[in-house]
Amino acid sequence: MFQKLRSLVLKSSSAAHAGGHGDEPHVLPLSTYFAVFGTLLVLTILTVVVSVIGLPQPAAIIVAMIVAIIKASLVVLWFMHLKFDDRFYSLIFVISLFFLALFFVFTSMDVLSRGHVNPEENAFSQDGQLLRQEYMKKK
Amino acid sequence: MGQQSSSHASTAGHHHPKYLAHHFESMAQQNASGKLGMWLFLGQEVLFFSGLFLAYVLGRIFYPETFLAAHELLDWKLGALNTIFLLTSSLTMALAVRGAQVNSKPQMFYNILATLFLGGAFMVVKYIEYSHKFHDGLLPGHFFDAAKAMHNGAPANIPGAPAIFFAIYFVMTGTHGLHVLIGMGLMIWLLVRINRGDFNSENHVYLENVGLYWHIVDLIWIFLFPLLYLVR
Amino acid sequence: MESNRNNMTQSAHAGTAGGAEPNYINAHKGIWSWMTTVDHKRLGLMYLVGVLGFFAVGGIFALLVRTQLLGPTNGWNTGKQEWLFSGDTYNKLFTLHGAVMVFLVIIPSIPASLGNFFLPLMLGAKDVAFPKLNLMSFYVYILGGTFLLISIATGAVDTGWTFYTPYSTTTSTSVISAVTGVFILGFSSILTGVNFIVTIHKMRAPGLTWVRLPLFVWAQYATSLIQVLATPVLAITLMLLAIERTMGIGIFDPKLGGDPVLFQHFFWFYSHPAVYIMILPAFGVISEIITVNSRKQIFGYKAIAMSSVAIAVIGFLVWGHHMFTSGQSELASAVFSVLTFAVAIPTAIKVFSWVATMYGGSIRLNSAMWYALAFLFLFTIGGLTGLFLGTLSVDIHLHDTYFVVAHFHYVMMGGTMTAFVGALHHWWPKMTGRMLNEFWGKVSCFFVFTGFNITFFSQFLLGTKGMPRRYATYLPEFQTWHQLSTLGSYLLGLGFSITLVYMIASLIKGEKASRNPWGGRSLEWETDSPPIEHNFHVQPVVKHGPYEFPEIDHSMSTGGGH
Repeated sequence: MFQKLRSLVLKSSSAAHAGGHGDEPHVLPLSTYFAVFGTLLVLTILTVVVSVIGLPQPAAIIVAMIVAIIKASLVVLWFMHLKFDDRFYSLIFVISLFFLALFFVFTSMDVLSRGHVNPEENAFSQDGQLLRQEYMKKK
Repeated sequence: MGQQSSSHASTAGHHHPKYLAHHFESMAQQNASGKLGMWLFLGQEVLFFSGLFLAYVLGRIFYPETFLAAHELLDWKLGALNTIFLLTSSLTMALAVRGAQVNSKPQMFYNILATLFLGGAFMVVKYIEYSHKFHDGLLPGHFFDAAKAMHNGAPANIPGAPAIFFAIYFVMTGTHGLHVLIGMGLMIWLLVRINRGDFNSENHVYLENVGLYWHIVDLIWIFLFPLLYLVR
Repeated sequence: MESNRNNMTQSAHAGTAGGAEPNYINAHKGIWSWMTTVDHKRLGLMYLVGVLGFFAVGGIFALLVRTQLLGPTNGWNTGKQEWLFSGDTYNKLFTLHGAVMVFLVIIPSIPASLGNFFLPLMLGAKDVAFPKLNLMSFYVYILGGTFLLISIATGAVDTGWTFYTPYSTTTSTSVISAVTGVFILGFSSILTGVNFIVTIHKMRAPGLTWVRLPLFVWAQYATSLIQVLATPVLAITLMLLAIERTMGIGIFDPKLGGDPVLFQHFFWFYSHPAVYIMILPAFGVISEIITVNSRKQIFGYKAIAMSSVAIAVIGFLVWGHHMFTSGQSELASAVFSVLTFAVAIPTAIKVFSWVATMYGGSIRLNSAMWYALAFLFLFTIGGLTGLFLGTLSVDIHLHDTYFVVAHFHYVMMGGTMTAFVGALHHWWPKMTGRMLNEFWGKVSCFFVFTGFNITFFSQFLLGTKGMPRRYATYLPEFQTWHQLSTLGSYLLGLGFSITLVYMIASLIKGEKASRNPWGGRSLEWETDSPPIEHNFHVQPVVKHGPYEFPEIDHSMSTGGGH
């Protein structure tokens, strides 16, 4: 796997003074673009319909997010040409998503495990909401 | 900059078009650099928005009932309409880039023009939505007005912290809207340059990069729409 | 001078006739040619002037802070209410010291000034990939700095450089303009990072493979990666902070239903990796100085290069160690504590490799090398005390004491700034075409090193005794250590002032520098000193690694051989 990664990085950057490589634009047929667009519309309708039907709590957000991820992948792979372009661009994109995931996972880990050892320390959800309600009453 | 390149041995045999900058050796190098730079910038955009999405996720963790109740006050039909506008604009943007690849000036010009209009339509709908929220007092933070909201048909008592929900709604859609506006500005610039005949199949990395930017704006909306308007 | 002794002639030397060609400084004349330049070398110099200017500002704040701390109470021995500053003024002084030093000095110091100057030279390129963007980054930097200065003029900030909520959203000082300044500086940082990554990928000379890159370039690469991936999170954090302050949106303020610990997560997700933005380029500098002045192939090239990247990645996993006492969950604290220790591994790989490089080398003890050795000593102390603080239980005792202050000054000041000044000595001949005075270089290094240790080692002791940071006053029993620390800071200031004087003297009447005064093997030494406008007379072709020195002849004098 590391070999693959390495060759990917090296390949992408060998272009410097070596002259042209892969410069010819990869022209997709029009039908491809319209097919992708059609799929995006269908998925949009699907996600709206699912929402209107009203799935139970955890399922609703999971379905919505899966549909959104599929839509996003379609945009990235075809409209943004990532499927046909230099693999290194994909690597950059994946790395940015990886760091986004790190940010989410570690922060949520803290929030979700507060007060497990010392319940008094879980100041947020009880006190915060109480304060919030008092604040609302005053208004 | 001075023209040093004549003394530059390795450029001697190269095709050297006028739009090739002095410090690059070839169009391939120049285009690849431009695109790599844009992808890095997009990676930056992803992490910029990550903070807002994380704020949303934690808001839901802290105030699940609020988020479920308050999102009902958003008009999913307008949200869906905007989704369609943006998806279509992504299509026209992709077609504009294709137009550049096949060296067709009208395809570039009219597709960018269409993208610009669709972006404008998105902003108009956004404006309508925002003015409803202003009218109903459904505003972020200190400006949230529960009494006004109730008067305008909001449920009597949204549990938890509705002001936080609307804060997140306005900050997320506002930041996204700002990106749309910047994109529209870039498109006006593109139209001028296309009209001037600056882009062709060899040299259109600017067009491609604005396209990439526009798609990422669309991408963010693809997640904002279900998270804010739909999820129950 | 033993200058060109081992200067291996490459294609670049073919253009000797170009000796009369104007260099980048005098190729164009007038202030306007500087204001609108897209030449990376000129921009590097402009950044350098900016950074040094702000370094002086931040340094003065530091000296004022230390002077206040000569006396334990506000009215120390004067019979007046205040000996020097009120508590409020003191809060503003240390905040501004921190904000200026972090955002305007250390973060752009090595990357923006020396990185801009030397990256394209080391790569054998004519410029960075996006010269106009580079110029824009510079103006964005100036604009951001201006906002920070406006904030000083309009009442300053007293939140500490970390802008913790809810204090920062409620204090009456001018937080908004300070935050705007930092937000804008973030753009400069991101754009520079993007520019450098593309430059390293796309602008390398023929034959310059990844394993032939100078380690300074590798360090810049890792730094740029962090700049691009972490800085946007700071931007969004500060934006939310500004909105929270103006509209009370309640994301961070517990009184409005928000979570203040969340702000700390957001802030440190950027600001911990930012610590590596500050120190990684210094590692690159040290790799260069030590190897060139040991005249020997570097020990563990790949290990050092990869450890830079490893530090960049692991640096993203440890931010919670700033929050052990903040109310973060115990699980998160434990996980962050364990991960923090992981950073020590790649860092130690570097330190051991540098020491091993010197072993058996033909060491030239010039002033750059003096600074590099000072770095090794100071940074090692800074790094090891970091492990104390990363230990969960120990940190409960040491958190927010002078121990922390001393620790990060050993890393930031003893590490980064020492390396930065060392790098100036190392590359000064290339940048200006003049030599620095070696004698005064060593004198200033002596004062900096001694003054630094007196200033901050005493703070380790203060910290362990329980002296909390950020207080304008203290208990009388701390006074001796505080006064010692202040004395050290004056020595430190003296050391840097000497540096400034002989640098200016060098510009006026310094000895002319040859192409390669230290016998370096990387590409920046293949061009004129100072370089011509487009860097190289002929496109260089690289045929060997950056540190392939000829066999050492041990019969020659070693050390101070000028």
